Order: sequence, then C-alpha cells, then structure tokens
Amino acid sequence: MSERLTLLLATTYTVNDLHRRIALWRSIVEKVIYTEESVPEVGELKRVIAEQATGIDLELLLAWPEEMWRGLNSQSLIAEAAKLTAEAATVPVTVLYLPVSLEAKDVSELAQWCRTEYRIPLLDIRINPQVIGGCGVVLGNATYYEQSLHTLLSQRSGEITKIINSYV
Amino acid sequence: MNTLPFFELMIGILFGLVVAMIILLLLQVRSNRHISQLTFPAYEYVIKRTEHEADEIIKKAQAEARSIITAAETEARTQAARHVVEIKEAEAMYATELKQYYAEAASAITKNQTEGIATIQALQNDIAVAIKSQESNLRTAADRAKTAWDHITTQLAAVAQTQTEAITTDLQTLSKDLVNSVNSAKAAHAQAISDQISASMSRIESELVAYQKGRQAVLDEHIEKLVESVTAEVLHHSLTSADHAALARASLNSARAKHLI
Repeated sequence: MSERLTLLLATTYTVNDLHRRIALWRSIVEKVIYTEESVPEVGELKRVIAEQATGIDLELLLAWPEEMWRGLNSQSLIAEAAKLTAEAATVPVTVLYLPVSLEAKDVSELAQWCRTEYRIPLLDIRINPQVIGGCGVVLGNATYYEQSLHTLLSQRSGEITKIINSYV
Repeated sequence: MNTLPFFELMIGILFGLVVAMIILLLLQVRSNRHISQLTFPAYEYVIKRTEHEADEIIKKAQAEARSIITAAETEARTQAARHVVEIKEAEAMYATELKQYYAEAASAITKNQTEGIATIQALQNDIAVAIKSQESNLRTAADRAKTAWDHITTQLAAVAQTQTEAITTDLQTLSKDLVNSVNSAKAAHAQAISDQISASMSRIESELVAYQKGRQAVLDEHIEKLVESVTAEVLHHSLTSADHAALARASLNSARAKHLI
C-alpha cells in the first residue's frame, strides 16, 4: 500500500468518502498544475482546497500532510491518480446497513471503533430503515447478519398473544 | 232395273233419226242446187216431190218415234208395277221369315232360360248339400276345438296352480334373503357411516387445530407488525444519531458473541 493511500485511509473510513476525497485530491492537483507552471506552494494549495472542498472534507484536506501533494507534475499526475484508484479498489470493504444516515462525527467514531475492534479497514454504509434498533452487516463469507427490532421481535414471536390470551 | 236400258235404247233411236234427217236435208239442198242450174222446172218438181216425201218420211218417223216412246212408257210402267209387286212380295216374305226367326229365337231363349234355371237350381241344390256337409264338418271341428280348449284350460289351470305355488315359495325365499341382505347392508352402512363420521370428526378436529394455529400465527404476525411499526416509528423519532451508532455497535458485538465476526 502506498504512502499516499495510507495517509488517506488514516482519516477516511467509508468507501464513499474515499472515492470522493481521491476525486477532490486529483481535481485540486490538476487545477494547480495546469494553472501554475511551477510546483505549487502550500499557500496556493490551501486556496484551491478552500475553493473545491466543503465541510468535513475541507477540514481533513487542509490537515493532510505535505506528502500527499509532493512529487506531482503534469507528467506523473495521471499515473499517480490511476495507481491510487487501483490501490483503493483493493482495500477490503465491509457492507454495513444502518436504519438512518448518521452524522459525520458518529460515522467516524463508528468506523474507528470497527477498525479498532474488528480490524475493518473500510465501511460501505448503506441505509435500510428495516434494521431500526440495530444494524445489518455483510460478513466476509457473503452471509448477512442482522440484529434489530425486527429480529428481536421475530425471536420472541407469539409471546405477545400469549400474554394477551392470559388476560382473556 | 229393267227400265234403264229401255230409255237408253229409245234415246239412241231418236238420235239416229235426227242424224238421218240432217243428212237427207243436206242431200236435198245439194240436189236442188244442181237441178236448178240444169233444169229448173224439173228441179222444182223434184223439190216439191222430195219435200213431200221428206214430210211423209218425217211424219212416219215421228209416228214411229211416238209409238216407240209410248211403247217404252208402257213398258216402263209395266216394269215399275212389276217391281212394286216384287218389292211387296219380298217385304211380305221378309216379314214372315222375321216372324219365324223371332219365334224361333224366343223359343230358344225360353228353352235356354228353362235349362239355365234348372241348372241353377241343380247348382243351388249341390251347394246346399255341400254347405250342409261343411256345416257338419265345422260343427265336428268346433266340437273338437271346444274339447281341446277345455283340455287346455284344465291343463293351464293346473300349470298356473303349480307355477303360482312355486313362485310363492320362491318369493318367500327371496323375501327372506332380501330381508337378510337389507339387514346386512343396513348394518354395514351404519358401520361405514359411523366410521366416516369418526374419520370426519377426526379430520375436522385436526383441521380446526391447524386453523387455530394458522389464525394464531396470522394474529401473532399482525400484532408483531403493529408493535414493530409503532416501535420503529418511535425509535426513528426519538433516537439520536449517536444512539443509532451505539445500537449498531451492540449488534456487531452480538455477532462477535456468536463468533460470526
């Protein structure tokens, strides 16, 4: 895994974020390279980043170390971008179904927790309202596991009517 | 018949006299011409004499012709009277013969009628005799038929009595068999109905239990869906993003507890 991808994954936990940030990185570098003849300076980069990114992406890109932008020119950019995209495609991804769309902060915490607890490098978060009260996850052997309000009620099927019948 | 040749003869004679007179006139004219040229006085005398002779001849011829005509008329009347007589005689003869023929024919018819009546009478007698003979035969045959009929009636009565008794016996046996068969069938049907009712009741009870289970399952599913939908609605509105994240972590921990991760 290249140094640039390692740096990128250090603060990126989902597939959507990874692809969006790679696209931002390439866009910013292309704008700087093809508008400035010389190697861009850090001040110029920050100005372009501020133009291209917003929200949490803006904060993260501004915080990226200088190695993310070093050694790039018009001849090497295309190859470096293709290499980065290809390497990103090899990162293992775990599909996680959530009932609602979480806030960015909560997504980061959950992803960091998954990375720490279960060594899950990257999450593909999808929304399914049916998994309210828990989540669903596609495991490595292509099996689906879910624990939610629905599964809990299904496990205790008939208990409600038994209780109702006991009062009748 | 005999008058026709007579008239023709008379006409021929008259025609011959006329021709002869014409010839004489022509000869006299010719003679007078020659005589007058030679000797007129002689000629005149000859003419007078010839005329006198011619007149005499003509008178004689006329008288002869009248006599011939008179004779012819007389002959014709005679012939006609004779024909009338002959016709009357023939009619009288024919009338006599016809009367005789009629008499003979009547006699023959009377004779034939008498003979026919006699023949018919004989035939009637023969037919009467034959009818009497046939009547006698028919009476004999009728007597025989009546005897046979009485015999057959007696035989039939005997056979009917025998058959009636046999049929009665068979019917009694058959009715007993039928009663036994009906009783057996009734018992078998009662048993079959009882078995059928038992099987039906058992099937109904099992179906009732299955129906109760099905209804119970439907009710459970309905209640669970109701509770789930209400709870999900409440959770969607009441839980924060951090709460959902915490529940997701709890779910993942349960997977690890089951050794799935």
